[in-house]
Amino acid sequence: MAQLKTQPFSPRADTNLDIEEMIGAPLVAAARANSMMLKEQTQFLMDFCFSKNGDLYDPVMIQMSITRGVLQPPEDPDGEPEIRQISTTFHLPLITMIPINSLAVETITVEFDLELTTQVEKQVEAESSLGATPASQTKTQLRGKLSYQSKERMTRSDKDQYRSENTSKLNVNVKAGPLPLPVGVQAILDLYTKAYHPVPNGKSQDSPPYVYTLND
Amino acid sequence: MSQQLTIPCPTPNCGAQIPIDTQQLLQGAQFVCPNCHGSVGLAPESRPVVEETMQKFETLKKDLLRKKTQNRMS
Repeated sequence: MAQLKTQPFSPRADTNLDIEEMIGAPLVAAARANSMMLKEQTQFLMDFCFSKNGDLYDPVMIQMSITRGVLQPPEDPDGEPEIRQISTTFHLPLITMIPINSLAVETITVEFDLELTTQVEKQVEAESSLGATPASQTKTQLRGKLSYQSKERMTRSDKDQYRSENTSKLNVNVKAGPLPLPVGVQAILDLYTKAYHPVPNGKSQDSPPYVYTLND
Repeated sequence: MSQQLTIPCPTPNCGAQIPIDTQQLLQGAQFVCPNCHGSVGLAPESRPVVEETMQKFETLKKDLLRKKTQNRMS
């Protein structure tokens, strides 16, 4: 289930900041959070769903059973056919039973009021792929500061003094939720899910046709 | 977005996808194949392994959410 968290952030209001950095910082933080979550989830899978066997990782297998009714022909030609409940056991990789989701930051919304203070134009030399003289381009850099609310309050212990306080607020709304699994993890899951398809057991002539050995 | 777990039916020539829920399997529930009507359940001997892994997985998810909440985006 997606969760919405509002995290207050109080940067200094009196300094000029690069707007690109102001917008980029929460996004960088979200990317770091995603990276941390993915790393821990992958570590969990390796620790609990696989067992290390030398240089290889073997999947931990669990046992399941499937029961179904099979119509049996009567032994006596005059008898009635009967339905027998046949139970077959099979092994399944544990990883296919874990409801793995990519728990990650799904969306991030940054809200703040901004006051533009400076516009700087810089000459930037653009690289030319043809080896010609680099062309000069003008890049505009915007600098600004967060708008703030001015408050005045009086402390009881010091009645003669008023304190003026400027506060600024930047709200970062982060919505974290399960995302579709990465293609690699999905491929591993598909591989293991399909790997337990039954193959006929040809060991015994007496074996009924519904008994199968499964290729773990 | 929650993903529905499914396993392919192991019955020969069936291969339909059986939707499963691990927590309900741990409670002893069985899930029926929509095609061949075979019922799939978790073997009792595998229950402790699955139960332990699911507990650790839930702990991991709680830890990650707690860390994310604590981590101020500053």
